[in-house]
Amino acid sequence: MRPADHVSRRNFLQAGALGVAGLAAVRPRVAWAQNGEAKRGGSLVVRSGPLRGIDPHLETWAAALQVIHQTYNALLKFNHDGTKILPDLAESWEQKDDLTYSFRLRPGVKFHNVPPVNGRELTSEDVKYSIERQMTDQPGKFQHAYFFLGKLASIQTPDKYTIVFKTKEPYAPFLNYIASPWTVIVAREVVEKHGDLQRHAIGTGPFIMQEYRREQEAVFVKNPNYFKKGLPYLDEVRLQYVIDPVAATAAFRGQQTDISYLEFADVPSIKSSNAKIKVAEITTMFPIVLRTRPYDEQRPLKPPFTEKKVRQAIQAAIKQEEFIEIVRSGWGATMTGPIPTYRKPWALPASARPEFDLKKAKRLLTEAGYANGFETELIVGSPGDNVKSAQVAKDQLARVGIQVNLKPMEMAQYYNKSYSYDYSMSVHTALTGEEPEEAIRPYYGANATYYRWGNREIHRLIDEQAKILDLKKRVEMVHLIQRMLLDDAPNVFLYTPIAHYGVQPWVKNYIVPINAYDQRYEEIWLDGKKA
Amino acid sequence: MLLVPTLALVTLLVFSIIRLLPGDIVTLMMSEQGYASDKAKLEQMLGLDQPFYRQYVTYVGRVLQGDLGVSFWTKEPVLDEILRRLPVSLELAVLAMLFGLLIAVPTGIFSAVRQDTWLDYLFRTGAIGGLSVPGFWMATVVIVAASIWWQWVPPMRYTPFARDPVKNLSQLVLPAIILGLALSASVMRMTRSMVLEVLREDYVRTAWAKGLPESLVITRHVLKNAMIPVVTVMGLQLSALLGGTVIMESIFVIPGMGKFLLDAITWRDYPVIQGINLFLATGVIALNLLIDVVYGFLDPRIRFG
Amino acid sequence: MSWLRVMRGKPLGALGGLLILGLVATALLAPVLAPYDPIKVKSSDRLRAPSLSHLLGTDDFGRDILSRVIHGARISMLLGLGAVAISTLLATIIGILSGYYGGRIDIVLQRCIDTLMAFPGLVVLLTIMAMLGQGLGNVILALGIGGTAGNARIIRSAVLAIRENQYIEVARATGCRDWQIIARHILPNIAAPIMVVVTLGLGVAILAESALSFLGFGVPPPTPSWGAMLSGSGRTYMIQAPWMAVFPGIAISLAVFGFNMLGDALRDLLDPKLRGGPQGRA
Repeated sequence: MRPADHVSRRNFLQAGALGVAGLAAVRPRVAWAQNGEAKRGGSLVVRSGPLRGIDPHLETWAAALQVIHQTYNALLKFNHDGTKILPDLAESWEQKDDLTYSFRLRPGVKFHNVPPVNGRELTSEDVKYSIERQMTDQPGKFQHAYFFLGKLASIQTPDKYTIVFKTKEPYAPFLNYIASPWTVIVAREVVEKHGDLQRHAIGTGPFIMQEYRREQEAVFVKNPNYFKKGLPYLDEVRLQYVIDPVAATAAFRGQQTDISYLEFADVPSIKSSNAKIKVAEITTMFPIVLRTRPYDEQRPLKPPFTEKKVRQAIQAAIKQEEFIEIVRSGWGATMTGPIPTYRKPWALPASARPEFDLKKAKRLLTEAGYANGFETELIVGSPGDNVKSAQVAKDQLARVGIQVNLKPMEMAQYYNKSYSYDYSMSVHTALTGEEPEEAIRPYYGANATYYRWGNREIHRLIDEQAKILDLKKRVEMVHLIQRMLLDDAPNVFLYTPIAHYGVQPWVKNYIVPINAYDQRYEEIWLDGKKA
Repeated sequence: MLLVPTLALVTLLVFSIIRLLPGDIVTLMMSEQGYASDKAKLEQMLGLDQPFYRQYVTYVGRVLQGDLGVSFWTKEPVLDEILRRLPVSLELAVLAMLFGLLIAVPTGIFSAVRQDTWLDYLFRTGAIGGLSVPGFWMATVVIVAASIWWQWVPPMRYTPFARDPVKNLSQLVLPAIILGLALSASVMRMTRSMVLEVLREDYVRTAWAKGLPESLVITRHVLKNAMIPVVTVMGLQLSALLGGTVIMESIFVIPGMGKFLLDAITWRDYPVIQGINLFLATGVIALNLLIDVVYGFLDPRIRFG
Repeated sequence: MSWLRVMRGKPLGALGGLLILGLVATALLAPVLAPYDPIKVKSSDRLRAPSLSHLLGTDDFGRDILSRVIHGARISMLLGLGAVAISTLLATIIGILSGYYGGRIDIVLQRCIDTLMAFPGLVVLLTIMAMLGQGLGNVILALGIGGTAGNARIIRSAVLAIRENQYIEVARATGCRDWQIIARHILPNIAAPIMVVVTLGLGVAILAESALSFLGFGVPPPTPSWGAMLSGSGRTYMIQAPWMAVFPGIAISLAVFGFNMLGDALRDLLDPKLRGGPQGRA
């Protein structure tokens, strides 16, 4: 990293929320993109995150995107920092009126030349099929059906290359959801043949899946009929799944992987081993959240969480910086609400951040009738960083007399407990997306699934904001919702981790995107990699 | 024979226990994946709506036909998945035993022959030392040191031996040595005590008295008889090895049965858990049988006794 | 038996014994010995290298490593003793029932033991932990149950060896009750193998806990168990702050080493066949 590019961590923390300078540090410099002679050939090896299934419409583990984006395309896509929408399968689009969006597909896009599609052309019918599949109303709570389910009045395909969507009401998130990395276009034949797409990925993308072994690796080869002429440059992409972080870092150091997530503790030694290795610092899209008891009509709140003042007291006793320092050695960003601070203008400004004030916390507890504090249980999935965050939370809450009993559990059990909505407190990794309501609606909305919060007023406002097409007005309402959430304090937002991605010097023309799992390698080439 | 009731017990035990694990698979799948429109349908799909005894009987029936069921998560046949991973685990286990023997036997013999000398103490300390350091820690230190000092890292993907023996071995040699070290402690001790015992036997004393050189005495008389129990012990270690490789498989990215089983337990993949346990149990019991037979063959006293 | 002569005869065992003595003393005196609170978080003191104020350095939560290692001795002893108590008790009961009564009881129990032994140890532990959930008590229970099968076999063979003794026949003939025979004749004579089993089992328990910690099933934080210190943050910060892992690692190794040496020496001493002595060899 060049000195001019580097905003030190200290500045980061002092600046509090991200200002313009902060945004620059988060967005890797365009200087990484090379305008040199592209070289063809070679195999790119990438360290993969944990995979479960790879069906883009049924899966929610973000690591699946690494697989999905080698083999599929969507109508639109985001640029690397999520600020612009670019064409992908659609060569142009138009919002005809408040309710109507029309897309024109590129002609001549072919599916992979693999059974059962055998290289046939993509048409608007495929788009319609895919969107309808995504908004399936089959319960299973964590799909992305909420993108369009109940929002579309119709999907029309007047000809082979044109699709027209009509929404029931004005729907502000529409384009963001069309461009979401999850809204890719699949082929009906593949679904019919295999039942689902959890183990097969056949699309229009730059690479064809050759091998998929979930716990080990996924191998892709170049698609010779890719619709972007001349791309991809690479012959092969391998996603290697190495679960042990020490082994994974060693693999990167030993030049066995070309692109890899790195533990922050290993970064200094990797940089010193080879100055030409590029390390990107990405503020991730997965904030860590301290949750209190969820509630809705079927599950009323239980004391002490029935008292808003108790929740606010917890919020006031939490010091975000201490989490960042202890759990991440400084590699984290503070938060002002459910939307990460780099998502301007949706995130609340730094001034909105709940104050760390132990005296206020104690006072609130006394007013609520818990002058001597109380005892409660906190569940957390183990192993992982969240166990550490849980320890810090326990320590901080002890300062105001709240005794937290930690209950780490293996992941499977933790998920079970979490989605039963029956727990007192937990430390959780939340999901956010390019579309601001992704951080809010699935958690606090009327049909929320990741969490349940029964505040009807908030439900109403969440439904309302989606209908506001005017950007300024919508931002205002999203800000209002967030302020209400900070006041109601069902969750305390702890921090957003900053992740490191190492890129070997011979990988050219690559920018690590903010949505770090949304990795597209069609424009990368290798120059100087040892065979 | 007694094989059958043991196996039956094994399957019954596994069958019941994993259904007692909290966090049942249906809720797990429902909450994350939306595999079916409702809980009842999912249960039916997985065959979990039947009463326990019926599930068990159906399962046993299928097993006798060679069908170990299908993984709840990946839908692949369990038997196929096991057979794919078995050779990997076996190779690692065999290599580990080889290293274990290579380390343990010579040091055991030396230790016995030079009993209570500083060499004996050194070897015994070394053996116990190898056992006292947790395997994952040894692996960590070696991997990190090798990657920093020599820029070398064992390959992080598995290549079958037939396709590329060098790559295959370079991935497996480190975990094999580490596993072998832990093994060698007990084998070394056993070798040592067996050799000591044999050394006191009359026919050995006769050999001494006859003035035979030490090395000859050892190889011709002592080794053969001392090895029998050692072989037995090694055989028993195999079962411990096959599952105990979990940690090495995780660190070195080896697609063996240990890690497979761990994942299955984590995700409550009942058919896989049952299948692997059945396989392992059968294997171990068969192995014990084999050892008994070989034992009988080797030891003339038993053969004719 | 003069202790001094025994110790000189078995120096390794003596060394082991000393280590264990040290371990027990540390465990008992932990609150007195430890200079700091092992659990209190202090973010300003993170990742300090060993120095005069923190002899073994601090960890990523700012906690003093020396204090954590000292308290870890307590946890290790607790784990070991708890696990061994459970497994020895169960194993003795099973072993005596099996060996003394023989016949059908023996066969059935043997099948059960064989069944349990067919599963790799770690897998048994993981399954039990998955069933019970996390927590120090559950780890102890799991280790105890996991260690039962092997020990049961050892005790059974010891009982079998004794059962053939003539004075047992005599006792039976004169009408002594079974439990009297067991209490008066069997138990004292299998005390030796039990001692060996206990000593070795303590070492195994400590190692097994570190393996469980590595896989995420060990003693939950913030309890300072050596296994958790070694496999958790100790590994993450291995390059930056090696002292976080080195010292608990040394502690584990010394403890296991001690138990194994002591157990070996005990076994040698108590097994008449192996009592050494230079007799007619080079």
